[in-house]
Amino acid sequence: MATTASFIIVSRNDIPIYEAEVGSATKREDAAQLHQFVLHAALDIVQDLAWTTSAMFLKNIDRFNDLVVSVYVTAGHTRLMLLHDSRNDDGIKSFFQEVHELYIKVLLNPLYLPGARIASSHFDTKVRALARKYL
Amino acid sequence: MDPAGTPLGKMLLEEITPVVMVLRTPSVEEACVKNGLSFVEMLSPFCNFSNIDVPLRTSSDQPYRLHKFKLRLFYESDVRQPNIEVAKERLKQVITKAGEKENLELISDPPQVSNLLDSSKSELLPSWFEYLNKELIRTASFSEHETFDHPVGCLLVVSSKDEQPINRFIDLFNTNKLPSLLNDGAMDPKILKHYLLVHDNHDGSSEKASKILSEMKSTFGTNECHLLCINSSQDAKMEHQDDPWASYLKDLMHEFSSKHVIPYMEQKVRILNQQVSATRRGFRNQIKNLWWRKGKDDPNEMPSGSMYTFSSIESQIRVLGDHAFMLHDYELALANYRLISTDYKLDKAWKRYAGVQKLGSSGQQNATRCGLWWIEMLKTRDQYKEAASVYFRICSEELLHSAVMLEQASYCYLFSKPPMLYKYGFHLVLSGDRYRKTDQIKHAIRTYRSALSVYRETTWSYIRDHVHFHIGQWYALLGFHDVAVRHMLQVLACSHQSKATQELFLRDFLQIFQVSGFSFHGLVSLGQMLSYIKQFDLSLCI
Repeated sequence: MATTASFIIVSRNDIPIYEAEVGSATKREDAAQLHQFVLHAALDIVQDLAWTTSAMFLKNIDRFNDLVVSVYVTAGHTRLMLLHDSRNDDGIKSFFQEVHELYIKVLLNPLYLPGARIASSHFDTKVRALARKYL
Repeated sequence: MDPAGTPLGKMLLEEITPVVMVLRTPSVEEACVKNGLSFVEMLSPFCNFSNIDVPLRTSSDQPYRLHKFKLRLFYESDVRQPNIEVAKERLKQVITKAGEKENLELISDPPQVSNLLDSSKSELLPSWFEYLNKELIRTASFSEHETFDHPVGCLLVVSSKDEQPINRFIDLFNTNKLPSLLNDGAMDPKILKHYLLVHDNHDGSSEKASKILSEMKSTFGTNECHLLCINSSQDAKMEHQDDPWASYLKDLMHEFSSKHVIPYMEQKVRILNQQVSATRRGFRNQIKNLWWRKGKDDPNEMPSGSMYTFSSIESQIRVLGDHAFMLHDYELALANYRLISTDYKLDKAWKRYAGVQKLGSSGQQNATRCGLWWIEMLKTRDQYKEAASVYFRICSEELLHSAVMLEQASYCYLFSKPPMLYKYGFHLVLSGDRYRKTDQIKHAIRTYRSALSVYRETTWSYIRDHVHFHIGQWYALLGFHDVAVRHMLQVLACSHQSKATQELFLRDFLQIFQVSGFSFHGLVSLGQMLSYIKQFDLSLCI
């Protein structure tokens, strides 16, 4: 289980639609800020990399000190970004795939506007459960 | 583009030039002081040759002519690493002074991103970066590793007024007083020696001087001795154009360089080249080396003193490469640097310098110096992204320098193709944070304000809060309360933050608002604030 992990879903307009701290370590006040900064900065790199490959799972695309950013790009150019300090590539890939399925279910909801924040607590619970399972 | 014209090219041509150490008696210095100059200051202008036109041969016996050449003169007391504390203090002064900008610019709105991308590099980059980088490189001079700082020759200077001048010459080269570089084995103490007798025409006829000169010639050799006549005026400063004896100086340095220093270096290159070829380059020796090296890959085994003595083959290759470089035989220089780099790639070498030196700070300086040159190289080839990552890596615990490095990194990200705006913003924030930690509030505001170009309308909540809150606080510190209030307003709608943070934001906002007084702008802001309050968790207001 990763000690630090921060998960963000970013829409195609670079707007975060879902955020969650899924690490097992106790949260520090400024940790959330730093995580957002690092993930936001990584967007530049994802931008370029996403078009060079047809794979959805882009492994470690960026790092900052000992934190690594892994990204999974969906067909609609929504980015699932995970900031972590572990090396569990397979676990992360499975995590992304399952969250992707959850996200598709959210999209299927006719009352959900694509690009809006995901406010469903059900979604939140499931994502955290997946994080505990795979990370 | 002509490599010699790039900033890197110019820097290298100026910095990597042979050093001549100057040893002189106090009377010599007195004579020069009468004219308002030190001895080195007097000679240095004549050491820069745009067309020295000396014929040389490369190691493969190709003739060529040397045109641009420069000598750097240093007193023996300066041939040592500059005092770190003094250097740090000076750099701090530079940075503080650079921050004393027009306040108007500081409180104005940050530029739009589109304007940013359209502006040229010279418009955006702070002008003091270049000076600061040069100074940082200079603080790493004269270490044991950087062999192009080791003196190739030595000028011993005695005045005609000195008693027993021959003995004085011998005394000057007394090993006790020489820089540690020559004594502790880091460089070959057998360097070119040249003897100069200075005679001031103001003091009387030059008969006595000529006598001493012939004595010198018989003791030290005819070619190694010279007489320099200067003409001190009572109080006036020296003028190069009108002064007839300026040409003596010019001729002297020209002869010294072309007939002594350069041939000496050429000779050394030849000798070292033979030695190196014999021991290192042989095919069998390469295999032997590979085999032997497998066993001792652990860098920690290195002794804590100087890494290699001058007689070790690695050091010889290094000296050979540097001499070849300074004589513009770039092929030979490159070949030798390649040889060395098979031992340790530039990357590892840079870390190794930093790691082996148990004295952390001097290792860090070497790493900084290598890094800054590497960065210039990368920038010349438009590899801005890589340059930015090197800037990041040469950050140390020295907060102020890290701040400047991070800021330079941010600009590299901006200039890369395609421009990486988010990285630009992020590194500006990192830099601003460090500026704040070292009390450079104006710089902190400057960097955060630039970052706002990118983060102005971001939806990433923590980022917005962080930037607006801190820049608001700092504006308040400097007394710009109106602007501060404007920024603090941006953070008030922060229900996503923890309760403690929300309280902090509100409290600081009210404090600043109070101090700013109820100006017209204040009333408008109050109205805005009231509309925000509706979004607050009511429990906070109780």
